[in-house]
Amino acid sequence: MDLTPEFYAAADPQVSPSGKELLFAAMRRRRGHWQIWRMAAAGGAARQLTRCAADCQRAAWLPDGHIVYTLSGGRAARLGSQLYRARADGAHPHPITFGPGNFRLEAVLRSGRLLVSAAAPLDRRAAAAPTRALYTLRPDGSTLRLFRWQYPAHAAPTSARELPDGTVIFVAQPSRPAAGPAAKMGKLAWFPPQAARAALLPGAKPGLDSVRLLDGRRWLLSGSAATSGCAIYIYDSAAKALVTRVYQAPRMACAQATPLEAQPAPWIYHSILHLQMASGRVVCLNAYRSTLAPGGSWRRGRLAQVRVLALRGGRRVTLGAAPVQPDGSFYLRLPADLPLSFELLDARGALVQAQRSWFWLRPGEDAGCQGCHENPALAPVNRWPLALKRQAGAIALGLGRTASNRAPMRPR
Amino acid sequence: MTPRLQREGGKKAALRRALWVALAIAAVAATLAMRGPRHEARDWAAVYSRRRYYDPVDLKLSPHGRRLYVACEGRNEVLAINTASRRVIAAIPVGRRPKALALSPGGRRLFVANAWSGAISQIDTRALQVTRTLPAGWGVEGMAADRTGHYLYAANPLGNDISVIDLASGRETTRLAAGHFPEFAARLRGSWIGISNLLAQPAPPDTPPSSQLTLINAATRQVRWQVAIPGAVQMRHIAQTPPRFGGYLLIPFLQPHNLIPLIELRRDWYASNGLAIVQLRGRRAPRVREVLLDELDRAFANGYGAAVAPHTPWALITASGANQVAILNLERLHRLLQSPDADELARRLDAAPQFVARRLPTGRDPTAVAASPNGHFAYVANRADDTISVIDLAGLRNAGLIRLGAQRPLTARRRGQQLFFSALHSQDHEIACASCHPYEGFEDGLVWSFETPRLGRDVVENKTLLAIRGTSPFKWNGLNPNLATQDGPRTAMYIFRSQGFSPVQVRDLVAFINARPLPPNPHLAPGGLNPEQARGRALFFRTRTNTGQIIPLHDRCYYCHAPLTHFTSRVLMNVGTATRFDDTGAFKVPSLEGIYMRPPYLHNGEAQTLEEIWTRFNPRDRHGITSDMNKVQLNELIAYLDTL
Repeated sequence: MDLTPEFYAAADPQVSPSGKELLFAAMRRRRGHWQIWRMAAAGGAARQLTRCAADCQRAAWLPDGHIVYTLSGGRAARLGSQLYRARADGAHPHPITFGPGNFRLEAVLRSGRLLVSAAAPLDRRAAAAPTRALYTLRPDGSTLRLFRWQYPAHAAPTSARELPDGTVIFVAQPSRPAAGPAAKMGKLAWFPPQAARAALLPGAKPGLDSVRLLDGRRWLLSGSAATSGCAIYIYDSAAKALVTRVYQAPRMACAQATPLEAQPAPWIYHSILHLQMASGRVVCLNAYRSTLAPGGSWRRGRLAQVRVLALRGGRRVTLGAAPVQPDGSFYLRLPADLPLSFELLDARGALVQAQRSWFWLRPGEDAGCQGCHENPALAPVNRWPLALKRQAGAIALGLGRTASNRAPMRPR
Repeated sequence: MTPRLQREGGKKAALRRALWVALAIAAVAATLAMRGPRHEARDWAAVYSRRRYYDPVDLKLSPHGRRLYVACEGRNEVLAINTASRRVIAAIPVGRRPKALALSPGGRRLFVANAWSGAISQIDTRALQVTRTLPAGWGVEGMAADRTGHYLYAANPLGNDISVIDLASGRETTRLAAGHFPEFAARLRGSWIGISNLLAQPAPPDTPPSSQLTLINAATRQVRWQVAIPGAVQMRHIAQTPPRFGGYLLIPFLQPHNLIPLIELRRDWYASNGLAIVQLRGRRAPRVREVLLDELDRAFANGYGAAVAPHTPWALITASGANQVAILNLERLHRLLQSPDADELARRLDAAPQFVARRLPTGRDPTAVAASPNGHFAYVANRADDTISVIDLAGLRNAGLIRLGAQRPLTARRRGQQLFFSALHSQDHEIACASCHPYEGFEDGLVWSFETPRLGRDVVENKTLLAIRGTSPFKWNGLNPNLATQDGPRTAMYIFRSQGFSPVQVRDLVAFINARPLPPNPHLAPGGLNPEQARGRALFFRTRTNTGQIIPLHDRCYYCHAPLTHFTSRVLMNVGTATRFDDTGAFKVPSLEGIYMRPPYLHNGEAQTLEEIWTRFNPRDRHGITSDMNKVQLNELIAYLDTL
């Protein structure tokens, strides 16, 4: 049954937690833009939720009555594709990512956080680079973090899904285009909980680009290849084998197959942002800790300052510099919703280490990092950072003296 | 006009009557307060008897493995279970709140620590009857009999000491010092007895905590080593690995990160869960290393039980917050500890997969674990489920469930108990309420840095949840009007960083917390206050200084620590204790009930003892007029406060 006969193309179907509605991306005409639409799962008239001047795709339901989707192209996404959040009727769309890296929504995890794929590292130059990784993000756009661990550079994850036990499976596409049939060879990969690195499963299939869960054991795989067109398979994860092909359409390119059934609702994440503010705060516990330094740490006393860069209008600008305390800590208040990056300087102002990625702070966000490119597998050291002990407050850089930058009284 | 005058006259009369009533109430209140602390009259037995769940909290297997003994603190019973039939064969009534078990070397005698009786029941394991009651210290819990069976060592958490009991005479012969809050004990190879502490040693609040493991040489009955476990609190059961796997002591613990602002939870920003690994080295000081059982995005919250399965390479560690038991491969762990990077393991979140062979789900709030002597099975006590999980150690899988009694409908309080110990409601399952409130709602004795308007400021000491009903508002800044507010959205947003509890769950949780009683106060003799305590009470209620000057009302102890409202006036007061790290000078007056068991003191935990409150942190007599008191008077005042 063709649910969308009036569209030229449709993709990314997402079933609502109730199982009664569908969210999907579609374009009416061949040269139009992709928009997000909503319709009853049983079929019927589709309702357009977005009116993007570029392409809006990869949408998902949020448990608090909002949707989140990916906007690519156009002026709004001059740093690459970005994630947007809107009400379930499409009203009040606003961005929740603000940096380079071509963000793409993959899934909403059961914890309520968003699982996104983006370039690794998050850099402007990475827009054209094929290396991508999975990240997590709160649905208000705060606390962007690399998901679980570093990835093999050759795997570009897509179509990630979370299993009930916390395992995240995804299709690993080759990062660097290869010649011949291997160019479209997708492999199933997974990040099991309590494991640090990806383990590839057998079951590679040409053109594989989507995986959905049927039940605890079986997955629905779909993809398209030049020779066979669209094909949908059922994959038995216990046997690690494709057990049956349930659909094939040689002349069609299919994106994703998804079971029409109720989905477990993820947790609601209660945002603690203060959107009236123009800034956020960041505290670094120990800038000396770095995987880029010999032995995992810079020599004590070498770091004197941290310089903050921002991307404004596509240009790098320096917001200022602040002292790094002897224990390596620093505590800053920085403009919100702006791509930011740190550079560590020595006492003479010479560059010791530059951050490779861009990050952002949401309004009123308190962000923390253990170090600068530190080993993410290390737990923090329990120490009262000197930057918090000695400084009267966060050092503001790139901000005017506006009331909106003051810290709000918040409950504890 | 007449009616109007009458009305005015009526108002004045009413005011006069109200004034007299108020004065009468105040007089009665003062009289009652002078008679002694409020909870002298409390019927703790009645409070306790309302508990009707089993709450299995400790396990011991008989030497042949055919019988499993279960301490059920909720029912004041010890159950004997036939491990073959998996049926309860006897329920033996013991003292109040049995928390721990110990077997004599041959298994003929079973000792039961009755924490709220301050005594130990001795059970004849053939007759399955209590044969005598042994004396013990305050809040007795963990016990271990020495190899000869002549002496029993019992940890007294409320007394911070260890009782050495001569089993021939049934008398306590010695008290040994044991650091802060010793709670668990184990008999080790050789002549060693190990005692682990739940709470950290007293220390300045801006330093990382450190806990203590006490090692006693049973041959001399003296403490041989007081081993510092850096960075750790809440150490619990002790298991020892075989010599071929290093002979290490494995002690589950929690590493709090209380000095870092609590602005997120993931990747152990708040706390880590792991194991202290202590290597005994003869005459040399024991070597301490630590490994984490947490992983990159999944915590092993609130480690509790520990056991080594004989004849196997397995050790089992339970996590009461994660509802899991981790099965450790001791060979791999031993190898990992030989690696040059072993010292870094204390912080590595990617180490556990190298030595954890399997993680199995358990019931709710798994506490103790015991392995059968033949190494075939292990048993896990699920405290909040009243069940025992049976684990097949050959297949490393769950092999059954022993239900301790008929399923009872869950009360709101019971549901709240299950929520209180569960970390599954927090992001990455990092923390439970019990993570900061061990001992079923107590406090961890640490200061915590929360996400405040100025990060790193307003660092405050954790507060107890025991006996807090009627003491609202809560928190040091008094901003939480009730428990429902604290346990609902605030916990979800600022602590758990997740969806948190539903309104129904909050109601259940509040029901549980409101029912948390204080343990019986060991300072309070059945006959009432002793002369020193009575003199201290007079000082507490004094109205004149030693020189006869009248003390202003607001400088009297009872003005802020009002006896009729749990020794707190429930308002904010500025007593001059704020430091440059505080953005406010006024703090909610804390209740004094149970004050003896909860150092450190003051909002920021600066005072390590009650005496320090007045001798170090009250230089201008703003925290009551105390500078005229001499040392004897301060001791008397403390003696009285200890009874509250």
